[in-house]
Amino acid sequence: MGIVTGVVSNGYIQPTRAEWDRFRRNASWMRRLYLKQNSKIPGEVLRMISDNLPNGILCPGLQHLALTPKFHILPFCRLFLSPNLTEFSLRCFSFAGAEIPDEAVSSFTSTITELQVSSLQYLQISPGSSQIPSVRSVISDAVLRCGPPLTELSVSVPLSDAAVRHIMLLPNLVKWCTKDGPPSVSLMSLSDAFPRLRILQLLGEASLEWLPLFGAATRHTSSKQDTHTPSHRGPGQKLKTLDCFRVQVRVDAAFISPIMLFHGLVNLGLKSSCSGSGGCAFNLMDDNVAEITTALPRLRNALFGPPCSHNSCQTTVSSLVLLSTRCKDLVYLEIHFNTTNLCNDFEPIPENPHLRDLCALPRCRLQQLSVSNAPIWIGEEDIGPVAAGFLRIFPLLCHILGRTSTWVKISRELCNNR
Amino acid sequence: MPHPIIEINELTQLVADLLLLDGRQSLVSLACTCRALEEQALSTLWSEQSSLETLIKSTLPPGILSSPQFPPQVCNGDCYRGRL
Repeated sequence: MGIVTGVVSNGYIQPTRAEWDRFRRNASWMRRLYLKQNSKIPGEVLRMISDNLPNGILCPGLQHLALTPKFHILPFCRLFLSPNLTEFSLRCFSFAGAEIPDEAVSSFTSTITELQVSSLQYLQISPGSSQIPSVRSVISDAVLRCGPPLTELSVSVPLSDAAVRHIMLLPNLVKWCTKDGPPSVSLMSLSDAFPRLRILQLLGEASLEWLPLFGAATRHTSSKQDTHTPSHRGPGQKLKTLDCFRVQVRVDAAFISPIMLFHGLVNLGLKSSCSGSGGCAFNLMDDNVAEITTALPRLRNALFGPPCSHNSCQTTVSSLVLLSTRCKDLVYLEIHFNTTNLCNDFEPIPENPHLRDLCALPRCRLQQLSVSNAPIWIGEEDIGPVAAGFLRIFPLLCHILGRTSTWVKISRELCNNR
Repeated sequence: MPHPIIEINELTQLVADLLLLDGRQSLVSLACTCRALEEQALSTLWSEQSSLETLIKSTLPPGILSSPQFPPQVCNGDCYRGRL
């Protein structure tokens, strides 16, 4: 590959040898690079750079690389594949329904194939489409090449069973984001899997199949071993964060049941939303919430899905009291609760027979309550008493996050009432 | 002969890191002020980048950016031109 200098080619003035030397020297100092989709570098310039790199790598010292390239940039991603990378992210976006050009797919797979993954601690790959078999196969192969240093893995396409089994045995994996359902594995092997997993993010319905499996493995481990020793706990008991994204799921006692075995859970995020025509998908009752608060007392951020406008849920203000008195670390809460008789529900707690025993207990430090699309029908004169009612349950509440102006007024009133 | 204190990498790195908080222009000034500090200043300056535009604009000739696809206002690399 020759060094080209001082001529005009394709409308671009070629840099001199000294300019190339300075360019490469400055590039060699880069340790972190974020190449975004709005990059306006023409492909011709990147080709010129590529032609003037003696060893084919632009930033040999690069350790952290995050690429969200446009399709025309994809063929040049390999310029940044330094052997020193410890963090790598490649995300492509395609418009809904738009086909990804064959050249882009080819460049994407070449980049993943050439990536040295064995030393990576963080790997994120999102090809923009999960429908291309060659992409899934190449990503599965890359995952199989990942080694013990890997602590975070996020892949937005389903992987081969072999790749998933490999992930399960990665000794230092702390955070895993997956779109896959589990391969066929025995409970025994699952109890030794994910030895350090603390954060589990599930994308889509298929991935939810992990939940009962984690639950079963946790039950299996609990029955066999001393669960007070962290190394003897099943994978579910070690989880601190569980997020379920892009799922349409009925949040009911059966769905929550395996999650209640994850006793160390600090952050629970169910991002499922009720569909407009299908009615409310939140089917928990106050008794279920009581069980959850007993099983998961360490919850700090609890999101049970954004409340919808149907107002047909059976949970009431009692659930809020249960959460406040039993989950002492709670700071953020999103949960359906029926607002039909909100003013009556906020009657002084000693008069409410269900909550009388709880009134003397200390409350949590909740600061934000998300009510999202929950409807509320109260007059101006009730805004103050309702705000006071919320403060009796959550004394440190600062914000109620709702869509209607009434919720905004109640949120403002919190400051006046405190 | 530079002052011996400039040869202590940990100290010069600390100075460069602090100047970075002040803004990248301060690191450019440091690199242009003292040859003994140039490498430390430049390595810190280029260490983290949110695009390639600055690198291209500041080290390659203006002609390379003359294409209408690459308007000159896309980055602030001009301020480094001829200095790095």
